[in-house]
Amino acid sequence: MKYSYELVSEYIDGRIEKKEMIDFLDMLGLNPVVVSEEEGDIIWDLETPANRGYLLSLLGVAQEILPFTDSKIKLPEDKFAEDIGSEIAVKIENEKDCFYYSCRIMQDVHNSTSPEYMKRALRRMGYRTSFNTVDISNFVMAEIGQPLHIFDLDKIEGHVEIRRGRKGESSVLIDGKKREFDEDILVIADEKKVIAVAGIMGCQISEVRENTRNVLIESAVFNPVVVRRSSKKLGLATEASLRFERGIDIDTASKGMARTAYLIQKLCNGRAGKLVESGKKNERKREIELEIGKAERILGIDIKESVISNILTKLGFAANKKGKNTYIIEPPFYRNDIREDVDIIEEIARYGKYSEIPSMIPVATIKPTPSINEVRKTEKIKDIAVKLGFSEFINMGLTDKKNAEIKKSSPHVPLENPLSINLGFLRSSLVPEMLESIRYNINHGTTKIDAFETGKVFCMKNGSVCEETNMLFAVANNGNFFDLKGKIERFLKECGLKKIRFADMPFNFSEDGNNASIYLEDNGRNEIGNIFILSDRVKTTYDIETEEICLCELYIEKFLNHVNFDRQFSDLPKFPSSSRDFSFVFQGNVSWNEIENTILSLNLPIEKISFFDSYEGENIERGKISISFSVIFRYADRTLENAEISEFSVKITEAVNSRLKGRLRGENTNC
Amino acid sequence: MDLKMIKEKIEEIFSDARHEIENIKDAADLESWKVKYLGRKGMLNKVFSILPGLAIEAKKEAGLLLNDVKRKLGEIYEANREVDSQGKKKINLSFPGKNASLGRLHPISVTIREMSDIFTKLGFGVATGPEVETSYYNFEALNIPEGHPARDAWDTFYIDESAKILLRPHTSPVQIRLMEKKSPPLRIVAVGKCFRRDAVDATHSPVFHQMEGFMVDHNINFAHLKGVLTHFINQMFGENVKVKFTPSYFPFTEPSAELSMSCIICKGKGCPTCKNSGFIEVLGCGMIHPQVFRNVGYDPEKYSGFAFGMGIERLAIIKFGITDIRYFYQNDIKFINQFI
Repeated sequence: MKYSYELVSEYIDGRIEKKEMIDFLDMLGLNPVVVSEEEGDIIWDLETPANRGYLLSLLGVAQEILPFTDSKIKLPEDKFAEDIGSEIAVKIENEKDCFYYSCRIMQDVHNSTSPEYMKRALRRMGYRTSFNTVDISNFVMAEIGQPLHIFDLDKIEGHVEIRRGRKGESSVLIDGKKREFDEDILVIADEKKVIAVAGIMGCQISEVRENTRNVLIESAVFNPVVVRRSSKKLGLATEASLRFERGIDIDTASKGMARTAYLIQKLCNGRAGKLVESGKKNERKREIELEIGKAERILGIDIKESVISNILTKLGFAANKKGKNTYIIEPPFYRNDIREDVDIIEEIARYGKYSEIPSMIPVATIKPTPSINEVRKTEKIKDIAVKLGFSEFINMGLTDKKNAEIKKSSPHVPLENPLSINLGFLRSSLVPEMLESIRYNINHGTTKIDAFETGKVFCMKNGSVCEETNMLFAVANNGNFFDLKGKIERFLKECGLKKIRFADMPFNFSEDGNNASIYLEDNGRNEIGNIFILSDRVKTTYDIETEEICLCELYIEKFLNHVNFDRQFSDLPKFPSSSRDFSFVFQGNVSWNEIENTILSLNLPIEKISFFDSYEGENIERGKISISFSVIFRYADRTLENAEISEFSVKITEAVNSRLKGRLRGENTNC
Repeated sequence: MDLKMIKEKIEEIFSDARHEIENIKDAADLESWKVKYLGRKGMLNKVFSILPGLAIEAKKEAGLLLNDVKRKLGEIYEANREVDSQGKKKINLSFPGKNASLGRLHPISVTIREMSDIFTKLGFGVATGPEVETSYYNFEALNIPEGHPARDAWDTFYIDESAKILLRPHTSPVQIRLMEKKSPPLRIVAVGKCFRRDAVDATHSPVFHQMEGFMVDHNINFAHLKGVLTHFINQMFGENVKVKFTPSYFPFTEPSAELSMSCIICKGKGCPTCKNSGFIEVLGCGMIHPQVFRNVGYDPEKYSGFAFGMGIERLAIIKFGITDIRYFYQNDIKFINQFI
């Protein structure tokens, strides 16, 4: 609904200026937005919070701004005479679904068009106008906040009952659409049929028409959760359901009933029957103890008692003093947002204006709360990736079926209510979105890409969703596999992971075999990632077949515990090192690990073995490979002698020869 | 001419050229020198032109010598080209440097780092939590009961609604998880990805990031909430930025507030970004609701606290003047390169 200055003013005894009214609403955080001006009146929209259903009424808004003013509330006229004794029997199947139900027969109703003031009011609030009875029910709902339903009495057969729908029942509602009901939907029915969906909309069969003479007014309090469930199930939200979901009270229902009967009697000459009530007769009184000291402690300000009592009285709260510093507060029934003392403290703060509360840095224990380990380590890990020249990508993690299914080993996770099928699944791997980002960049002119992403991946495990943090490195058109491998080796080393093993392993993304699994040697079987050259098949799928792409996916959670950023100083060498270069010809399938391990197993004073070249082709027998590396020797406590180095070199040559069938190609010395 | 004379002639040219180059002052002189000795009609070519008249052996010897001198003078020319009057190598400094690339964090991470830094200096720790959540942590524990219309504010993706498994639409469940594990005093910000059923457009994204923060201790009050968040906004956006708190509603805080700051684009004068109000809504906050404390086993009569939550992309958009939220998830290097 929309609100207007003139309409709200109708319910205020006293004068408030237009601008003031808007400012008051603004101060209360209700964000009034003026949508139009008409004949000197202004009309606005409000953002009404979900816990303040009463603001969906002119009276509620009028009451809300009173504490800023000296004015009083002006209640609408609702005195009418019960002329006739007619009544109808009502049965509530379960009082948990319907707390209170009241209805009243009105006979000899003469419908015509509504008076001009009512039509104008309805138009300003954004409602359509019709004939009297319909207009009256909308007008009273907007005025008081109570949704009402008016039935054609002559279409009702026997008594009225409020019950759950039954499988197989259906009816055409006032909107002209046929709906099917079941036990999740609360309905109003007579002995033969459903005549309304409780709190949402009536059925066409019992709808009042201009020539209807006898009507039944319904004013009820339905369980907000039940109305919400019916509304969700039917996919039907109405002005009535909006209010019922937020909670209606018996007091408001009675006021709505009286006002409606009053207006039908006044405008349509209807004769009022007896009020029939079912369910709870009264709301439970709510008494809340408010200690002024607590309000001061929560808000951080001194509070004057006179200010509190002014605010609360204007809002219609009863406040009785109990002892020196405490009040017993009784909010009006419609204020279902007021449950405990902090709710009253919020009212005091709202009207005392948030701007009047000072800004203070808290005095707290100096002991800070430390960040969790995972956060600190992940930040550093990302820093290392950046230092190595990779830029960070962040992808949504919601993806399509094709992407989600890329990891065949684990069942993927679909969403029940996706926005679109393109975003209908949780990602199972960081790879597909990375490839799409790479393609996006290439299509937009950036061809060389070093990128990484850290993020969650998901799979189903034993019926529940399992989420893990992964990290993906990608190099596109910016070096070959060994450029990436070198960076990954450096990355893992910087993370404090010392023993890393790369082992050839067939892999989903690279079925032509250019994949190595990465192991943390600590227990030998801890696979912490994969490094691979992207296969042509996958490249074709992602429309990047001409690009050179290498990827490395690391399972962060598998090694985060081993990540170690503690550093210990080790003394710089005091004696010079000597290095020898070797070139051996091996069988083509020799592994560097074997060469390295063979040499290290000799227990020589070796500081480092560095690979520097491999060669296949001219001068090398087919199927063989020449590998060149240098070995750096150093003693911590003395200088090496030339004779020793020669001796070591012979040992290395012999070992490589006998164990790996490596044949020496040349030997150079540089000290 | 016989071979001897030719050899002498060549030596003479060589010697003259070397002397002459000593007195060269600028590039123009050097070019004339090059034309004189090495040019098409230069001195050396003149000697070349008489070689065909010599005997084979003499032709070969003179030819070798000539080529040798020609190479040496060429080297001298090249060396002089690169050397200035003080004998230093001349470099044209106006040429652009070689392209250098830098690894960078994504602007979302850049923003998170900056925000975390401000809070960690105030003693807050940084935490995270799961993206797939249960309805309990996401709603019930935060005082948003099932069937309450307040739930409409979080349009949630479900993985299995009947089993109450969902993708978190806010980071607030982390608050519950942490309070369940730790006792006060606590100062924590939690960061991470959130998901809502918002269709993609310039200002909406179904995936976004949030930072949630809370502080719980004895006697924490609303003035402290204002103090800490005002400090944060002034650190993040500048000391001149004005901050405004207006009442709001969140089921897990009471009183609740919304923080707006003066628009940094128009300096509060009014522009399309702030819808001519001069203020931009930045975050929601409030005093933690006693029911939330009860749900995690804290005594609300003993402890009080404040909490706040804000969208990272929204802050980055305001801070950097980014015009479209979709940029964040396209990962265009040209976009990422703009931030540090």
